[in-house]
Amino acid sequence: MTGYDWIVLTLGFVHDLSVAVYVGGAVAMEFVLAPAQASIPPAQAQIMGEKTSNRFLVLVWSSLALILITGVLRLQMNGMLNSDGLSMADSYGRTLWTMFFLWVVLAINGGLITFIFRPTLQGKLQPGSNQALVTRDRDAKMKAATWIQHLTRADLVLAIIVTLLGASLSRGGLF
Amino acid sequence: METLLTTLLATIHVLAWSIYVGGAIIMELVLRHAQASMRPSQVAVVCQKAGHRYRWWSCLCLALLLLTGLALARPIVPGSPETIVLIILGSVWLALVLILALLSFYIHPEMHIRVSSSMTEEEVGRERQRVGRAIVRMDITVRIELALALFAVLLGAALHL
Repeated sequence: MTGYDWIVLTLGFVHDLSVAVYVGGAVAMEFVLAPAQASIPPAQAQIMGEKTSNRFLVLVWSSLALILITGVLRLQMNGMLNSDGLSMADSYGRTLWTMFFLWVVLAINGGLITFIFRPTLQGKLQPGSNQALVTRDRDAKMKAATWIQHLTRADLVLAIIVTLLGASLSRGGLF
Repeated sequence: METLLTTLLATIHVLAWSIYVGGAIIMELVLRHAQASMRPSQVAVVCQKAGHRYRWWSCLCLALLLLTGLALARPIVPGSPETIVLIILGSVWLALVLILALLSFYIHPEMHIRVSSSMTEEEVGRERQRVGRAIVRMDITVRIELALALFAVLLGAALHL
């Protein structure tokens, strides 16, 4: 194997691993850890939920960044990062642009969860807050929790669609 | 139509290894991290529930990997680099199946503490030590499993060179 082959192999490995962490991680969080969390008392479940979510968000952001970087580098090394490879006139280009668009949607959803909804969920009331404030805070937290649930499920569906698109690339694209 | 079928099979193949490897990474990097801040009694409950679910997912993923891998297999050229990689990949798959069987039928059942009210303090202590050894065996086995899974991803990347 030449030096070029090693670079291509490394990029492929990192790209595939990042996909696995994102997609497989989302499935594990939803279908393995969440049900396990539901089997312990609520106070402990909340601690577990916070710890797992914090760590998973780090993995998610790392994966998204690596997927983009390695994806672009792989295109460049295959000579596809040009007007021909990225042309919307052929199936490969259209599939690639759709994947990039969905990556942007995943990044936006991740941003909403990380910077808007989770801080709302983690917000603490000031001591001596009146009943109206307590009720408003509780309602805001419930809405934030619901939004997080919807967004993470939407992200899982989108990630599966991106996987389908990625699998079609070696066959010239999906549509 | 054939291209669409191949793409669907490839998608299932990718999802199967993604869920398998991603799940293993989450169990190692996320669940272990969370366990450090939980009470030991709750750790046991969570690990048992999560471990049980993840085993079923692993079983499904390994089965789908075999089926879709066989369906997508190209004609083998004896001695070619691709064939060698495929043979190693098949061996790793087999090793992962054996590890899953070991975890499911021996290691996880051994981790259940069996204490009865008629046991002496010494017997309870010996039982706790036995479970402690089973937990260490499980830790080593799942880390070997994770290492093999990562190696399989590397081999898969090599197939696309």
